[in-house]
Formats: sequence, structure tokens, C-alpha cells
Amino acid sequence: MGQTQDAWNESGEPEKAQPMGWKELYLKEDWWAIWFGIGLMAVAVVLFNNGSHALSALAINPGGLKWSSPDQLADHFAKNASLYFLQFIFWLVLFGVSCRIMGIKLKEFIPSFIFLYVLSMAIFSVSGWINAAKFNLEAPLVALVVGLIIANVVSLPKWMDSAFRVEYFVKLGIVLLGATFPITLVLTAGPVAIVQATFISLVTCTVIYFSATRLFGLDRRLAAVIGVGGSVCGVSASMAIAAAVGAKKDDLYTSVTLVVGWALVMILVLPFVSQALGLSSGVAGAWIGTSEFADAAGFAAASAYGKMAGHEDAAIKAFTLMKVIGRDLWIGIWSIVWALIATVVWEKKETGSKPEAKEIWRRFPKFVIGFFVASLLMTLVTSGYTTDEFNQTVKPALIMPLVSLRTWAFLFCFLSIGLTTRFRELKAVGWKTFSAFTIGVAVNVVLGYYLSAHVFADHWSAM
Amino acid sequence: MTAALTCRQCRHFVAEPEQLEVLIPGLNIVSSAYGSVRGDTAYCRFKDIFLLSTIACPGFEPLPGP
Repeated sequence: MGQTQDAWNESGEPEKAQPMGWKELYLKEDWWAIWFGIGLMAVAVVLFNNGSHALSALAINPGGLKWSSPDQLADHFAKNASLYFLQFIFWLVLFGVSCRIMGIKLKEFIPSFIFLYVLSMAIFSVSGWINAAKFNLEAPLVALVVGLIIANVVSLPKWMDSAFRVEYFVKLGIVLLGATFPITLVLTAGPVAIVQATFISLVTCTVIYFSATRLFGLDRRLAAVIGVGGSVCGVSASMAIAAAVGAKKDDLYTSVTLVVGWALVMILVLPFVSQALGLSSGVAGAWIGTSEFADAAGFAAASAYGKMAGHEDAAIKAFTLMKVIGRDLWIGIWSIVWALIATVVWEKKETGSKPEAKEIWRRFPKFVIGFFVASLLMTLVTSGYTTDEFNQTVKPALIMPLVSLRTWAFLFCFLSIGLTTRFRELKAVGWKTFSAFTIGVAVNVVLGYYLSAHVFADHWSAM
Repeated sequence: MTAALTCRQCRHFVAEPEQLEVLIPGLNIVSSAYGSVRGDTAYCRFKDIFLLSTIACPGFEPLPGP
């Protein structure tokens, strides 16, 4: 759908300036993540009820092999070549069709996705080595590092970004995560996450904003854009309020550099610091959830630490509660608040748009709905089974295939973070902007640690 | 009655996600122009600001018609 065609109606008259409306259902990746996540879950339930293991076969993954010789690995691929081919076609069709409808060119997407899939399989294979854990060769970290090296040494063509859809992959992973997340846990642990995350977000945003404006004399629109970037949900939050405050291109570009830089540092540092501090997986997941700005980067860090500590599930669940439910949900409200500040407190001429309550829904991260629906439905589906029945029958035949598909989606995401990070493309940021943001990061990390490991330690440890 | 001209008919207005991701290098690393959170946020090359589509301003330059 091109800009020109979208601007005029069939009579040659200008189209009105109206929101996307129902078109969002097929033009936004959030909705595609919901359709596919819930759809896969429904298929899994139907197959499970019919005693079929088709989804288990499709969800094949070399990550759990524990191979000790290359021959074992080669044997695994030789035996399962047809399943891997089917799985590749499955992912290609799933992502290819949806990306095409969203406007991404298939001639770019297909070769790029083939590259992504083959590389993902290689990384899973490395993490499936029996000694991988000894050398911290966790799949998320390996994917990130390999991706970064390729993007900055080999220099892939820019068009290959067509298939490196970081956010789309992580959203699908989160919806599938909902299928393994009891709704009772969301309801009991969610409020604590909201309280903790909201407190830290408010403090961090305020610190960055006032450091930038009062301490370093920076423009308040830039301060607002990097303030929400460092406290709510990274670049997505910055983009959400960019229109509300009438931010300039360089403001958002600056936020990209700061968020990406610190997000990468924290992916690589937080798991090892958590290990050094001996944090439980739940506490570390909550801490990472308050410290990482972006969902994709946070999942990489939480997943890596969970694997290192042997309790990936607890780390991911605590992270999800803190980041997705505690922070992401409220992005529309942040947008309204900043629009109000810009129009009421600042001069009107500086603002790009007036505050509207509808923006809360328009900017709502819709994939979270998929997470809740998946959680609710799977809780209902599995509620009639005893614990023994669940562990012996439901978990291996219904839950684990969905976990494996989720793991694939997350690995595509982690690898894509590395593959899209070209350091030479990031904007040079002045020391004042960097310092204001970094002060906020420091406050965020320390406060997040204190609340996760001390104030709410019992809560997160029990995850 | 003909509808009023808006940003959507202006060549300075960038609303396509693909173009936005080209405009801001690195936007797709840990974010996306295809996500719900962006809403209808677009970019005006004339004013160099992010905004939502509104009534055409004095900087309006029309896109080619259909």
C-alpha cells in the first residue's frame, strides 16, 4: 500500500486524516502475533485431544540434544531432515505471508529468512552441545554475539533487514509464552509487578528529564523522548510520545542510539552480575525486567540467566510480569500525559498533536491481549487434569511443543537484534545527552535491584 | 463537498513503516515501525517533527493524484 494510493480516494478526492481503524488488524505486527499465537495454541489443543503428535514433530529443535560428538549431531539432522524442511516451510509461510500483507517485499524477505533460519539452526546446535553450559554458550548470548559480528564485520546488505523482524518475533514469542503462564499467576503476581515497575518508571523518567533539562540544559522534547525511552519501553516508547511532544527526527535517532547501546551492555552484563550475586532466577528476572528498556533485549538477558541458573521458566515469567504487564501496558497513558504536558505546560506551537483519550487504545501494545487470552484459555483447557496427569500427559504432548515453537521465535528475535545492529549507523550522541540518560540508567538499575532483591525478594524468589 | 487537504496528501509526510525505518537507522533493532505502539505517528520532512496527520499547513506540497 503506497503513500500516493492511500492519500486519495477513488473519486480523486483527498482521504480524511483518520486513524488506521480496523486496518490495524492486518497491518500491525501485534495483531499478526495474536492471530498466529492463539491459532497455534488452538491447533495444539485440537491435536492433543485427538491424540496426534504432529505439532511435536513440527516443533523439533536441536537445542536439547546434549550431543558430545559431531557424528551425533549429523545423525540427528540426517534422521530428521524432512521434519526440519517442513518446519522451515511452516515458518516461511507464516512470517512471509503476514510480512507481505504488512508491505514487506517477498523477494527480500525470502532469501533473508532462509539465512536467518539456517543460522538459528546452527546456534541451536551449538547450545545443544553437552559442554555448552560450561562455556556459557547459552543460545540467546551466542545468537546476539554472532549476529553482532556478522552485522559489523561481514556487512550484510540493508535489504536483508526485511526478515530480521525483532519485534514481530518477540511478540509472537510472548503470546506463545502466555500458553504456559497460568492466569492465576498473572492475577496474583501482576499487581506487585505493576507497583514496582510503575514506581521505578516514574522515578527514572523524572531523573532523566530533569537531568537533561535542568542539569545539562537540553531541549525538553529531547529530554521527554529519552526519558520515556529509558524508563518505559525503549525506542517504542520514544516513538509513541514523539508525536505527542512534536519531537524532531534527531531526538528519536538519539534515543535509538542510547537505548540500543545500553540494552546491549545490559544483555551481556546483567546475567553475569546476577550470577555473581547469586540471585534466584525469579529475582534476576524481575531485576532485568526493571532494568532493560526493550522487550527483545530483556528476554535475551532473562533467558540467558535462566539457562545459566537452571530455571529459565522462573526468570522469563518474572521478567514478563515486570516488563510486559508492569511497564508495556501503560504506554498509551504515558503518551497522553506527555501530550498534556506539551499542550498545557509548554507552548502550543511546539507540539505536534493534542491529547486524546483514544490514543490510549491506539497505542496499546495489542500483543499483550494475545498473552492474556492464551494464558486464560490454556488455564481453562488444563484445569481438569491432576498434577500427575499434567506432568505425564499434558506437558509433553501439549505444552512442550508450544515451548519449543516459542524458543524458535525468541531465537529468531535474539539473532535479529545482532544482525540489525550496525554500530556505524548509530548516531553520535553528545556527552550531555549521554550523561543525562546514563544517570537515569544508574538509578533504574540500583532501584530495580533494591526492590527486586530486598523489598519484594520473597515474592520474586517464590516464582 | 470536497474533503479538506491533509498531511496524507502532502509529499513531506512520511507515514509508511518501511520509509520510517529507513529514515531512522536502527529503529528496527529493538523496536519497529510496524507495531501498535507507533499508532499513526508519522514524520513531516518540512517541519522536521513527528506528528499525526492533520489539516494541511502552509508548507503543503501535494502528492501526485490517483
